[in-house]
Amino acid sequence: MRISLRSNGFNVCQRILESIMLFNSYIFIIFFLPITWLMFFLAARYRKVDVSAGILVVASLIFYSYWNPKFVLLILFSIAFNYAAGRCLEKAGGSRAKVYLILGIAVDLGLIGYFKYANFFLENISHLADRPFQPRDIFLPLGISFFTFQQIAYLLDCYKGLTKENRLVHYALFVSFFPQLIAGPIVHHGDIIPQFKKEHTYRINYQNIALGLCFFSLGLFKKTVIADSFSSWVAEGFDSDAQLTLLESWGASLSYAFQIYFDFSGYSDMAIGLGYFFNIELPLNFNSPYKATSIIDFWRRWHITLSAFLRDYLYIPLGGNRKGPVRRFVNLLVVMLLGGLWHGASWTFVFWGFLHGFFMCVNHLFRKIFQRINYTLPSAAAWCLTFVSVTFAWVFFRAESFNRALDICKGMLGFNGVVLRSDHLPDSVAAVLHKLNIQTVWVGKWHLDPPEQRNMLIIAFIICLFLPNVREWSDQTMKTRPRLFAAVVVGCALFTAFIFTGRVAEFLYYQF
Amino acid sequence: MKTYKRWTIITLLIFLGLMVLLVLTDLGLTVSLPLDEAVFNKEFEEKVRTFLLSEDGKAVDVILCGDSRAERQLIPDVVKDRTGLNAVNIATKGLDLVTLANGFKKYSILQNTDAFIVISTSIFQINDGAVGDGYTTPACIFNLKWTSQIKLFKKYLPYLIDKKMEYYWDYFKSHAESAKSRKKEFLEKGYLAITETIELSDGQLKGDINKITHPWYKDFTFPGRKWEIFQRALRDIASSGNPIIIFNPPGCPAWLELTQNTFMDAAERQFSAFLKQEAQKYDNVFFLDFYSENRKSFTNGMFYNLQHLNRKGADVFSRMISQDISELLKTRKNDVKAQEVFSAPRN
Repeated sequence: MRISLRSNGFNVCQRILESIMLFNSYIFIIFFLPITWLMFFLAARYRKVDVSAGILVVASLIFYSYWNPKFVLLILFSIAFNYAAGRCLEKAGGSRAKVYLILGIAVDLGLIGYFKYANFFLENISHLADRPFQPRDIFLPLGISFFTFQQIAYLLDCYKGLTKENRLVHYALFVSFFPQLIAGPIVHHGDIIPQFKKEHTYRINYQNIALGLCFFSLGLFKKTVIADSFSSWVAEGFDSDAQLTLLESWGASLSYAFQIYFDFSGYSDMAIGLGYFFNIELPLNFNSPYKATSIIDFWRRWHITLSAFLRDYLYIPLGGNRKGPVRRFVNLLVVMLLGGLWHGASWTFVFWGFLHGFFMCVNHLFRKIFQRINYTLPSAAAWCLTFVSVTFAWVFFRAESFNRALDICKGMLGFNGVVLRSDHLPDSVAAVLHKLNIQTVWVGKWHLDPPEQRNMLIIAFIICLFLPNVREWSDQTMKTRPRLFAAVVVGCALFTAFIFTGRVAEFLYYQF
Repeated sequence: MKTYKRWTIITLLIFLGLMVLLVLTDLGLTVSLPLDEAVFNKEFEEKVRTFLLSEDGKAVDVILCGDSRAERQLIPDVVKDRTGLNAVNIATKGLDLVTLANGFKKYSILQNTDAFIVISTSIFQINDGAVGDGYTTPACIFNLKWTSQIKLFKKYLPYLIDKKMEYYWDYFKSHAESAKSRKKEFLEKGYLAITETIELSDGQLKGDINKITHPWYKDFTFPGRKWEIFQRALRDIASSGNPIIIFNPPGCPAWLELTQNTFMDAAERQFSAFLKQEAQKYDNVFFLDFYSENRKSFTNGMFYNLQHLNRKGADVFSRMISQDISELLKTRKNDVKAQEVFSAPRN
């Protein structure tokens, strides 16, 4: 007798993760991508360009529905509604256009508000009213923050008359194009839709395929080999209740700083690479952010497409820096607070946004003071200050609660004591440390695993600070004439990433 | 364009070449090394060295072994108090029967003792769907045929490759280190005491049963390849002639109530039925089903989580096991058929 028992809905969380067609999953790499690519170019070969675009829309919806078919209806509704609203905005003028715009944005914000923020607001209201709160069973649709923002920008540009008449298939592709659908980059219709209209997009271009392979492989390597290596140390540090000492807290927070960078930038590189496979150039989302020497510089390098969106559609409409320094600081704070809230419905995200807003205000203030006294902060000190500030802010971004975040920050500042590994220290040094009241312990008592973690942190530092990013590297090695050395690096990176693929399978930014 | 085409082909060929090399290396290592007999569990080996290979090891009458449900549920001192027999606990978290059999073979344990062997089992050991870290041991993987490995890990092939590379590395490393004798301090003769009590109010047992995550029952498929290996390992251990008690441990009443009439309950009962059948094949193997029987002996307060007893529960459970060992001793003395004793209702 043979039984194979399965239960509907069992192990739901596990299955959700399994059911997302990740870029680093077999089904995506071996089946979905090659089949979609072949169908796209086969249809184009027989001069059916619209069919090609249609195939890409259908493939993108299949990619999305693989996670949860129900939500395809939501994205279809969102596409149809915003397209219709955009067309109305293009045709209408004056106050009528304003009504369409308000209606369009209200529906978009209503959707994201319901799916992403309803529980958060209800919880806070209940808390204020001192009533018990029972969270509603609302499922957050994947990538809703990304496709909503893209469409709000589209509506605003329709209102300003900045859009040209677009066909539904191109608009649908702009919203649903699978490389950027779930976790960005946040694309601007003005950059993407024209590419769908061009004839040569539908012809095989080996230069783009080579670039795509380079971006995809190195992105996959960043995600599976580097980012995922940090995940267990991050979880150990952030998810436990243990009071972390100085080195442990820094170990956990630095691990997260590198995990989120390699995870998200790896994902973005993969998205750009996938775009290249289909002759679509997606915008750069990261430009070596940890090389930044100021917070302002950091935000020019980190999640560039989100920064651009917030700048163009929030900061500038709020008045930007045109209404005096005080108003500029208020605008910066408001933008960054909302940026934090965009990342997640939790006060820790809001606080993370506030911290960055605050850092930016301080940055602007000191920049002005330094200009007046004609002083420049040494770049090493500026880098150090920026990196430490960003790392402290990441603690609030990652921690489950304020208390945990504060606990880790306390540890980072040395309030939870300093403990060193005695197995790494000569007895004489350990004795001196003991006199200084610095505790030394044997490895077994550590919450984290410093040797491996330390090595990975050093490697990550070297990559972030001294190596070119994928864009710079591909420009150096691929642009004029692709080098054999690059083929060896990319081939080996793909191979290693492929092996490491099965370890942890979720991109951090999927949840935003 | 031709240069880029050539570059793309070279890159893909490098990738494919490395993949082929990996597969050939894997096949080569599997064929040339005795990996199916390796143990791959340092802590277990440390316990074996500490308790069974030392001078004191000769005086051991009862070897408590298996996975965490023996490690944290069987107290050697209680067994000693109740039976007068010297007991040690060499059970280790996540240890399955095939690793245990390999360990016994590697250190020739069973050739040199006629001690009672008490083994805990858990459903992850035989569920082909439970392939996550800690639920399919390296020893189990290397005992699977290549095709079976692919079948079991079809959804997680890169994970399998990644893990196997890690195991090869561990294998070579452990051989390089084998000269160093590792003896470790284990408290309470290997028993790992947990004193906390399960929190039933924290929501893990509330709500929809289908939303409760438990990796042991993931994609439950039984009997399958892991069960075949389990049977083979039991045959190996049983061939020593030592009296063996194998048991399916008790579950937390709250969990049992919640999973009643679900596939998890059916799976556990099925597992017990198969274990019982398997034990009956051997004169020296006895199966005790604490999952289905003696449910009233354990309360929620005796557990620290859904599957593991705390110290209080372990004390009760160890007494029950001790009673079974005593019964078994009697059958040996009085030449009564042990299977009859165990099939009779117990107190």
